[in-house]
Amino acid sequence: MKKDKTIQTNQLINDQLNDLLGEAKNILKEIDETNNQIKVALDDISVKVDESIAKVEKIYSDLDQIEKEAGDEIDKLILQQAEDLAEE
Amino acid sequence: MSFEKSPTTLPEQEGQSSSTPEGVKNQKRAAEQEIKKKIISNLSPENKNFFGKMSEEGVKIASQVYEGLYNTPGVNRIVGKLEIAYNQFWIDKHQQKAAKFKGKMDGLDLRIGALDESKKEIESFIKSLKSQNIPGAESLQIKLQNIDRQKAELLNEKDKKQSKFEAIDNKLKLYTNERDRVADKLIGHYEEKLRPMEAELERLQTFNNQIDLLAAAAEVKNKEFLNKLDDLKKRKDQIAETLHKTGMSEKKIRKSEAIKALKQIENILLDGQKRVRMEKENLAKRKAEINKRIARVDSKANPYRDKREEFIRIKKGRPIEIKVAPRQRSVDVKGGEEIRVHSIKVEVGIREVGNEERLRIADYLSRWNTFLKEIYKDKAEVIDTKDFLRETGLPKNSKLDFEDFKNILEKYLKYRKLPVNQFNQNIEKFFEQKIKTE
Repeated sequence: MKKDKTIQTNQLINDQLNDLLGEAKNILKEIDETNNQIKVALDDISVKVDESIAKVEKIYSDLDQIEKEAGDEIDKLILQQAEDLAEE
Repeated sequence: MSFEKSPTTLPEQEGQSSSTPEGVKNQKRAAEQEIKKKIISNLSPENKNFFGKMSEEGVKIASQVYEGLYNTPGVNRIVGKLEIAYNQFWIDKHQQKAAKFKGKMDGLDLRIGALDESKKEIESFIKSLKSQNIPGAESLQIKLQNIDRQKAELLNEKDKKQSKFEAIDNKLKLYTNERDRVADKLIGHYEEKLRPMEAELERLQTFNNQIDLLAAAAEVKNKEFLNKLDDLKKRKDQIAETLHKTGMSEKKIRKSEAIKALKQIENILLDGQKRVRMEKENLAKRKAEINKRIARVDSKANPYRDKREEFIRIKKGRPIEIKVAPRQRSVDVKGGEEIRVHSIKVEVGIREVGNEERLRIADYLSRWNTFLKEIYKDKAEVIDTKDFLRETGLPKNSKLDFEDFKNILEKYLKYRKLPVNQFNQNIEKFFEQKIKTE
């Protein structure tokens, strides 16, 4: 009788443990899935950020070029004006 | 920028003191050479060629105007050059030259006036002689012709001076027009490029907000995972306790399958906690890294924005009001300041939120929307639940405490660029009236 009860209790414990094990594994799976989703989302954002940064850097480079060309034109103007003043 | 000469420190010539006239002269010459070198090294090949052919006086004037630009550290080249082009110096120099010609013309006018007076007097005298039949008028006629000839010469001379005067005036106008054309082109091109730059930086800011939202949602998920793991641990401990109460010997228990399963569960739980922690760290690291990249590119935009303002100020010829308030964007995207994922925890503790207050996200949203509708009727800025769940990646049944909901909602509004007034004015009231349990 006592042996039966022990077997029953052991069975109950084993069943509970199996349930617990299953749940624990599921949570682990959920954690991995969530981590993966975050990783994918971050990878996606990172790529878009890189694209945006490349566009902005290109604009900076264009602005530098615009400055360079304007600077040369202003130099030309300054030098011509200086020379004109000297000649007058 | 002033064209006043800045003190140039150059090594003194060997054996010559800078206090002697020769020393001073040498030092001055060396400084001139130095500035000339700087000018040449900064010119385009075409301008370098022109500079090489300029007269000594022309080079002197150019050196004078460029000196401030190349001798003052921290002066932005393009802004400095534009300031030179717009400097009063040119107008003053042209006006000095024009005034010289004007003076000469005035002198000629005086002489012409004097001749006119003489002519009038002679003509009157001739008339008088003729009326009295007195001879001698013929010789006076010759004098009159002489006066006319002199006057014609003076008028010719005046015409020449006038032409020169007008040429100076026209040249100034030409240079002014050319200067304005270059400045307008520069400002126009700048505006053309700054617009897409601002749009792209705005896009980067949105990515930043998206990451904030992602991090806030991840924090909620992690909290839920840790709660679940904690719950499993409690159940595992209870089973272990039951196992010991069965009356089995310790030796038997140690050898039992149940102990192996308990160990396995224990390992899984520890592993779970480790994965949550690592993910948290990883997310914070990646968030900081992306923030840093964005901040780096954003900080580079400020000098361009400042330069545009400078160009406009120089062109207008008057100072503009410089607003010192920090840029919203600079504040928003500064690297290192964005990692605040864990700050919510402290607030949670202060508020003493009970388990009753952990609601499903869908319930929070539904209550929030109803609450706003009660206050604002059809003007309520309700949240699109579907979009909210999609953007946060949170399952609609996931439970969270109020502080997490508040944090996530705030970040969602920011990311979606939705108005925040109703949120700011009512979120605490919402907690007090609709969430808080006694």
